[in-house]
Amino acid sequence: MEFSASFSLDARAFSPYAITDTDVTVSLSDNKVQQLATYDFSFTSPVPLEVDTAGCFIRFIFPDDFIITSGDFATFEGYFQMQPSSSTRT
Amino acid sequence: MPSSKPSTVTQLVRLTMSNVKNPWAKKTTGAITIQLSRDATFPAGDTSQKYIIAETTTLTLDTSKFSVNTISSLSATTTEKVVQEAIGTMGLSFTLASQVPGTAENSNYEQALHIFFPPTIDSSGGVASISATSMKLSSTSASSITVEADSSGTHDENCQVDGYVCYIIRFPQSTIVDRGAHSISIAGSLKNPISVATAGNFVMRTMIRTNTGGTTSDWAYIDMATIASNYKATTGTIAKDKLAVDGQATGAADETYMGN
Repeated sequence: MEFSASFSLDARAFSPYAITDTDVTVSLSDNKVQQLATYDFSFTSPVPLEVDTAGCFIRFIFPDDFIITSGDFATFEGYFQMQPSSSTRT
Repeated sequence: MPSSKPSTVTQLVRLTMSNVKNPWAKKTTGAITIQLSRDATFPAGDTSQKYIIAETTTLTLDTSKFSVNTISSLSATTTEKVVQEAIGTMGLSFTLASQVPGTAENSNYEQALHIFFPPTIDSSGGVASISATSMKLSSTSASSITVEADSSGTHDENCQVDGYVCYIIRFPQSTIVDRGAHSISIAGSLKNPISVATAGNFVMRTMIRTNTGGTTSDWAYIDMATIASNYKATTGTIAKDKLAVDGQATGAADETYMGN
């Protein structure tokens, strides 16, 4: 008699997709030190972000010497594509 | 049968942040990390967690390219203008457009002023005596302001070249170096250059760094100014007895030499 054995896959060692420098554009309205400026980050995710099915979180981590406490998140935009969620499934 | 339920899939993302205070200008770059994650629950029934699916690895913002504020009205005055004479007292006056913050903004801040002297100034007498107590500081305790020679080349590569003179004036961490007019007084070891129309530039920088848990960051620049020095010898007199080569100075007249 054969028994089924449980098997778990430890995915903690898996690496996330890399977003390279060339994927990201950063533009500043003013590059003078200690001035208040508007920062604009644009990037293309290497993997589709399925917003309404799995949830999507984007986290920005800045160096300590950035003073973000006075920063306002002015706009956040995602450029969406609408597609059937299970178009290949029956 | 294919599902007709639409899914929103995005790959292009744009984030705009306003009123972000620019960091200081540093020679090193600061890493910015962007992480994309999604919620998932493994195993089923457990607490939902965010799992990273993509992240930046090397995104940096080269803050050394940030432009520093300008120190205005930087000028030097000396009481001793004869070439190759020890500088009696030199005053450097300047105006800061920025406030160099103290511990009120960050308990780990260290502040300093860096001065690069024209290359022909001679400091063979040792570290000059520099007094910064007349600066507009929140604390004016002279004993807590230190002056050290800088031969590191960190702030100006010429500082590590023999014959160039650079100093770092360090302030106590709690000190706020305020905006406005400042002056420092330099006495002692520096010696005037030879008489040349333009001896070189004074370069002054205000700097800041953090010291957290014994780890210090690189110095970052806030303000900077450069002025060309202009040393011109003044007319002087060589006494007649100094001209005598054989002790027979009688009848000799004092000679004069001219400035340029």
